Amino acid sequence: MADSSFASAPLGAPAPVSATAPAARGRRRMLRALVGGLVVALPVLVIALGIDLLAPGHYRHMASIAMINLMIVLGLQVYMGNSGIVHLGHSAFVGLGAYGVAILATPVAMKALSIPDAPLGLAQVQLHPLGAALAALAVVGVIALLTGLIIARLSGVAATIVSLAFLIVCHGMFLNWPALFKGNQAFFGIPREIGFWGVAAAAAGTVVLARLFRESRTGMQLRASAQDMQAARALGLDVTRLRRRAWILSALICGGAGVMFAYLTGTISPRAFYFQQVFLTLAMLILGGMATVTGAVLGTLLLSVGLEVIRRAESGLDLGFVALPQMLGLSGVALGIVIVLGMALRPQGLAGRLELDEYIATTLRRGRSTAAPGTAQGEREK
Amino acid sequence: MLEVSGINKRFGGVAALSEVSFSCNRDEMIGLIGPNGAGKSTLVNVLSGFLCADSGSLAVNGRVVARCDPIAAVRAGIARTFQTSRLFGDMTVRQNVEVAHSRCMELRPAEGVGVDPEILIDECGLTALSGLPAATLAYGNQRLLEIARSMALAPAFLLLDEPAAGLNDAETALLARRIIAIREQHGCGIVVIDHDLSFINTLCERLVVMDHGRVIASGPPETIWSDPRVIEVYVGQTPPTETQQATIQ
Repeated sequence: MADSSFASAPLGAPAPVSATAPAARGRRRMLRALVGGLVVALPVLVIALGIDLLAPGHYRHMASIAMINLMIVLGLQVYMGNSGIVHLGHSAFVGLGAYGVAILATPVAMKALSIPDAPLGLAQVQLHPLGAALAALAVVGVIALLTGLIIARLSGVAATIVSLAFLIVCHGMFLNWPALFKGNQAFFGIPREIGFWGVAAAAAGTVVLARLFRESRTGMQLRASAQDMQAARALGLDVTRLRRRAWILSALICGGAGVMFAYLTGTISPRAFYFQQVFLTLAMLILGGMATVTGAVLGTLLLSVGLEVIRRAESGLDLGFVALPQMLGLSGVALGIVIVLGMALRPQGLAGRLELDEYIATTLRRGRSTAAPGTAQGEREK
Repeated sequence: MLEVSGINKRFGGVAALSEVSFSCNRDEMIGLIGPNGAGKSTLVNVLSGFLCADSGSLAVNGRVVARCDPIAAVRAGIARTFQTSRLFGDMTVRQNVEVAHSRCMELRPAEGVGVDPEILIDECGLTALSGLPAATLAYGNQRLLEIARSMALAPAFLLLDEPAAGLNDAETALLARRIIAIREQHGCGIVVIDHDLSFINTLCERLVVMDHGRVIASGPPETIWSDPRVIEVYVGQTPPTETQQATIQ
């Protein structure tokens, strides 16, 4: 074992002249993160291409929804995966993003029917879809900034409970302020501005963004604080500020997913942004592994496909040799079983500690060192 | 110059530190010793901003350091380690040091440029292990990594809280040589707490002895070990006076 050699380097040897300065290495680290992010985003685009070319039309819509879920899971990973704090309120930001564009981009004629009494004259406002999206994200950003002031100071269960309270407050607002949000009824008539490839591009871009954040100075310091809070304090890390930054970025990503959802489906309702979505995306992240962006992608992929298969089976299935009866509620049971098994067998999640590109690099290096053990030994002794 | 003056700290009715004062030069390595419960770790916690002193002050190079603020302590150039190793276990050896270095660039930009994480890792003999998760390191290497990580803060003063705890004799000797080498390379003042007195004697030019929250003696090792108060603390009684010795004989 390499780690058993206590302080193996010769003592008193002159410090080697470093080939690159730390600043240059920092830039190279971000470049590697960019490449790594692209490596993780690539499967998303390949699957999207496969569905676009080969699958029947209705799969495109399912895949679009799955990719929006991926964005939400990535938003969750940015905060939860790096800070180590369970977050249950992310769907509130999805809802705020979605309702933001619904209110700002829906044609005035449509709003005269749905929300004629909107405050601040919002019923007479109709922004360009892009402008509406930016305005909605600005609102999400401000709300994230304000909630972040409180939540970033909290650790562990306290932070989780506050995030849950925030979800419930937002849901209550969507439901009980019909003048603006149309209450329990569906908010329809939102311009359907985004198609399959728009969502795919946004999801792939979010993968890269989440990875860049993970490897950034803030991301690295935040991950360190999640590992050992006392050591983080000893290094003078401002954990509150680090958490706040992650919280805001996470909220903006979730808000962006909400914008995509509204522009894709054209119809939203408060129910879509509540417990069901929270737990589905949470299960995806935990199953895949919250420590990595790869885990978020893997978990979303597996649960999206798995749940679709189960949903088919739910309504009865003819396998040729045996016909399965109708089993309503199977998807919920299956979701539970998958999570229990995943946690029991692999509590860190399927992806574990390494990103996809790191895993590939490690495997290649190991392959090379078994092929030429002499060189590896030499490297170690050096 | 690290100047500690008149620090008091009470936990309820217990005076953990009373009127603790000492100083340490930037080229000095001093040993802080004393029996269990003497207040050594409490002192490190106060100096690093982890605990709030009730009164007293701390200054680095004449500049007073804000109390109860670990960030201010790091900014002033004070770094610390812990009695038990506290690493970022899932992160690699290199990342552990890089986190500290990245913070140094933010808090001490002038000094931070001069410290290269790779060189620190090399000086601690961890280059071959730099890609491994810190949690997989042998215990001795974990202690070294903690020191490398602290040094990435480019500290003017390093507080080592029992760095040799849990190490065998060979490992302790190696650790001592590494600490000496690192200090020669980077030139910072070091305050080291340990119960291993031979380890302390190898390293330190000057000792500060604490008991019941007070500094009871300070000076070079040879005078410290003939100080009757120190002997009383360590041996448990005052050495017999000449008349007593005569009576015994």
